[in-house]
Amino acid sequence: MGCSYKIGSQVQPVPTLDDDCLINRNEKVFIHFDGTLYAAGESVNFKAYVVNAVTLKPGIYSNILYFELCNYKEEPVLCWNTNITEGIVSDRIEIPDTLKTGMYTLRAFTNWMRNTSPEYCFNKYILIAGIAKDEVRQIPVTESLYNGNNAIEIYPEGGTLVDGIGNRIGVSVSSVLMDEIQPFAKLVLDDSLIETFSIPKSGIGSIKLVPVYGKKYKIVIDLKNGMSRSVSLPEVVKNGYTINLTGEDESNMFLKVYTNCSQFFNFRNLRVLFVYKGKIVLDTNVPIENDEGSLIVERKSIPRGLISVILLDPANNIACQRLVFNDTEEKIDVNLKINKENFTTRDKVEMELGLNNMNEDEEAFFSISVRETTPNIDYSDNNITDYFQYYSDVYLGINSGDINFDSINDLLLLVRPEDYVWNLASENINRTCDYFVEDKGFVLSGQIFHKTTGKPIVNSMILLAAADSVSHIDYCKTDSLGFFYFLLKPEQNNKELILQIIYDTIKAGNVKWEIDSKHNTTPYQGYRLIALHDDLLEYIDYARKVTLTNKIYEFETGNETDSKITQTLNRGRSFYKTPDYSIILSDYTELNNFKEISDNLLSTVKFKKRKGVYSIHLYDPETDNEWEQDALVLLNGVPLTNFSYLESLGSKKIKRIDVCSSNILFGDLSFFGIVAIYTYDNVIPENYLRDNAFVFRYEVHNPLNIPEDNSLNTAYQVPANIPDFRKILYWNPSLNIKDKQALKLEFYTSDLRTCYEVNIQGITSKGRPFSLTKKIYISK
Amino acid sequence: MKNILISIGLCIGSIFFIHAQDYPCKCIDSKSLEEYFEEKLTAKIFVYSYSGNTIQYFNEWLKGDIYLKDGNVVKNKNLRYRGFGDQLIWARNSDFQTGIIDRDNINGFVLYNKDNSVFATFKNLNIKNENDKNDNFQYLQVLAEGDLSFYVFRRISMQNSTEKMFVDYIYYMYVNDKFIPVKLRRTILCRLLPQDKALIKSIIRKNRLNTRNETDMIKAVNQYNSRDGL
Repeated sequence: MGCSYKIGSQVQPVPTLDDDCLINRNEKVFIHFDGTLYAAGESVNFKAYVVNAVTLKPGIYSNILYFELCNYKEEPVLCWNTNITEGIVSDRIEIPDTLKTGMYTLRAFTNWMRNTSPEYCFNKYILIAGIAKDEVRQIPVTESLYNGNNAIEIYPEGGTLVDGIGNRIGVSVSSVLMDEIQPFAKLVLDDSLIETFSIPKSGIGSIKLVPVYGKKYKIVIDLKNGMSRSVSLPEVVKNGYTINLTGEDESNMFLKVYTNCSQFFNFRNLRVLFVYKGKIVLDTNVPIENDEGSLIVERKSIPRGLISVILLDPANNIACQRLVFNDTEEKIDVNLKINKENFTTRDKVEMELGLNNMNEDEEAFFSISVRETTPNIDYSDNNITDYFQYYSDVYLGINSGDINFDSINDLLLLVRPEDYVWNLASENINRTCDYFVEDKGFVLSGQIFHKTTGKPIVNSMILLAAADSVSHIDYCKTDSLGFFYFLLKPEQNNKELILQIIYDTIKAGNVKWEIDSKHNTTPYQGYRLIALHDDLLEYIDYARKVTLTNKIYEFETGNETDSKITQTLNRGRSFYKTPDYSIILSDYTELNNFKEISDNLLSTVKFKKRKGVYSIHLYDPETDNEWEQDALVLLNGVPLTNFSYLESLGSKKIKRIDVCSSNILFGDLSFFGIVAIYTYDNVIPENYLRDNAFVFRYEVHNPLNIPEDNSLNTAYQVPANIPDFRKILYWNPSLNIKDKQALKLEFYTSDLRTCYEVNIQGITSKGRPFSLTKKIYISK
Repeated sequence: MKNILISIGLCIGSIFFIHAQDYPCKCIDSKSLEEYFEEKLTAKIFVYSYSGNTIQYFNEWLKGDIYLKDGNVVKNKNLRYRGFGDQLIWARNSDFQTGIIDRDNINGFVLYNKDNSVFATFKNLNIKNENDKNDNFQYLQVLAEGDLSFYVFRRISMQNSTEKMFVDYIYYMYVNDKFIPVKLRRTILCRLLPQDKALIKSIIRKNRLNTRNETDMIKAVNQYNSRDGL
């Protein structure tokens, strides 16, 4: 007679703790792209919004955003990262022209976001047309696009089916599978059809059922190829509870609780918890009479956002649970006026844009794209509002781009509690985070192992340096697992950084270095071949041709911004600041090797070779002491652990030598004097690096420098003698509005006679996202 | 013998003092992150001279923060200001080796009492005058700052013949973008601020301040800056 209730496959703990680590300090990313389908070799403009996951306010923590474009095997084919300021950055990246036609996953995340599952990073599936014409009629698509292995998801409201209690059952079909199925599903009991219901284009349907204990129900969906797929419904329990959202209005949400257990336990109330991001925000009792109870929840009494409504049984175990979205705040309305709806080619488009319901001290940051509409290929292309408010918190794995729900709560019927990110976080309260918040800069991390034994090298000192005309070094020590961490400074961006083990008996050549590459790929789960529709094939071919034509006639706008990786030059002084003396070799007669230089010019330096081993000792005149240990020798800023490389350096190669004769304290290190040698070519011998060091290059993609007049956007008019096949008519990533200001924008249509979509995405300084899409048509 | 001792000391110093401990949970906040990836101080070894002659130091070892020129702040270090030589001495925690921190690296430093109240604030200021060719940076203790700023150079000098050290402080007023060395006299304020002569006199008279005394001069400058002496 025991009522034991399970939700999904696991018993859920009651979340009681506020896990600050994973919840309140988490981040969300949304990327607004200028287009939807791209061709290989084409440039992609985008704007990234990084916000606090709870408040949705931009720019709280991380200042580095990582991107990776992965193929269907989840292998990164393009990775880059960019610095973000106050949570917002616009940038442009070129898709490699070597990519083949296929579905790619673009993932954006901060280092901090890697502590949670990759599904909660920003993921966008992008169809890229290979530049070479191929006869591809089907493309491989990563299995993860199918929401794991379950292309058909079934979930009863609240998670349970109870004997004799009517309940709604949600059915979702993944977007890719939608192309293969008939638009209806069947509810079947022991191979007998009970009812048929429709599965609309969104892939989401629902059906009501009063289940009977002991019966086995399943949902069957017929495929276009004559086959069918079926999914069994959860087992019907004899005694239990259900919770349903029965209605909602502007002020209240109406919930109903049903049970068939009250006669056994003789309870008059059942406890209901409202949990917001791991915290109980409302703890109330529902009076139960005749096995049912009603609950009216005032929207204002709970926070805005996704709320877990949890019904507890009399023993305080979770009986059932569902998600609801509580919408309380006044929304930002985008007011867009366009001078007309139908345009001719090379016509002028004038837009006036304003935002309603803005507060006085609120500022809105947004981006606008006017792009050609494409066939329905744009998987998970959410708008910023829906994405930040729901989809970034729940993993749906469905095509929600074109769905018009009566209520988001109809969609949330389908969300299993274990697919809700905040619940996941609550389960992991005692876990250790593995990745730093990069709010001060790039954290270079890694692990070192003995090459021969494979064991981590612990307690070992690692020096970090870069070849430069001034010396900046840093050090850290490996922990008990061989991990090390460095916080890089801006001047170390886009430079070859040299890592070495020092003061260790381990031969440098016997070290295996593993650097955290900051990837966040999902494990490869296989792929499926998806047939492409004729209209999509046609569009891919068209997109390819347009891109090639545009490449040929690339119009010089005068606004080209260099987004290439550039070598930054180090400025400032060396870490040892003022040397005791400096020698400029060109001021002296030519000397053939370093021995001659030290003997003749460096009065405090003794360079010796004894039994084949070189040493450099310094004499400190201040203390009248000759150090018995080797000095720190820097070659172009990089510490050398083997001085034999110096022997051949004469005054033809060496430009300058700095000498600090006294003992130098550097953090917790002590150096017995410093000899810093700078050569004309500013290089470190390759064989030295190969034998003694590990080289890592941290590359930062320079964000586009948007001119104040926003001239980066494509608001120019292409000269009449140049064909104009722009798929993107207008892109402006750096717009902002304060108060009741209105913006006037203008641009020109191209030679393409088609439908374009004005797509606006933005967020305010108070964390209120807003978006709008509107179509315009170009005819003759 | 001295050399041997120094060498032994430095050999010990070269062994690493950070014990291998696992890195903390990476969910630390930015403040902790800053502490964790702290900027490393560079210092030239300080060899004790005139040991036992405590007059050369302005303070006992105190915890302090160092404000570096690159904008970084190195916090909670053992610091001592040495007036003889105008040096900031740092004793590192790991092995208590002492070093003179390169002045060119520093904007200033703050020394704290054991109860974490501020004991003294020093700034590395260039007191060169228009006629001076070269820069003249000194660690000046901040006594009062505002429209009129008041600093002291806690200099300790030595009598060459007897090697006896003595207090040789120099006070500076900073007004109209100039550092002016001053003696602690009532007249100096009136001379520096002739337009506010009446106000200054009133502040001194009303508060019964003895401007030959450093504490009272600080009060006078502070009251002038806050203009609440009237």
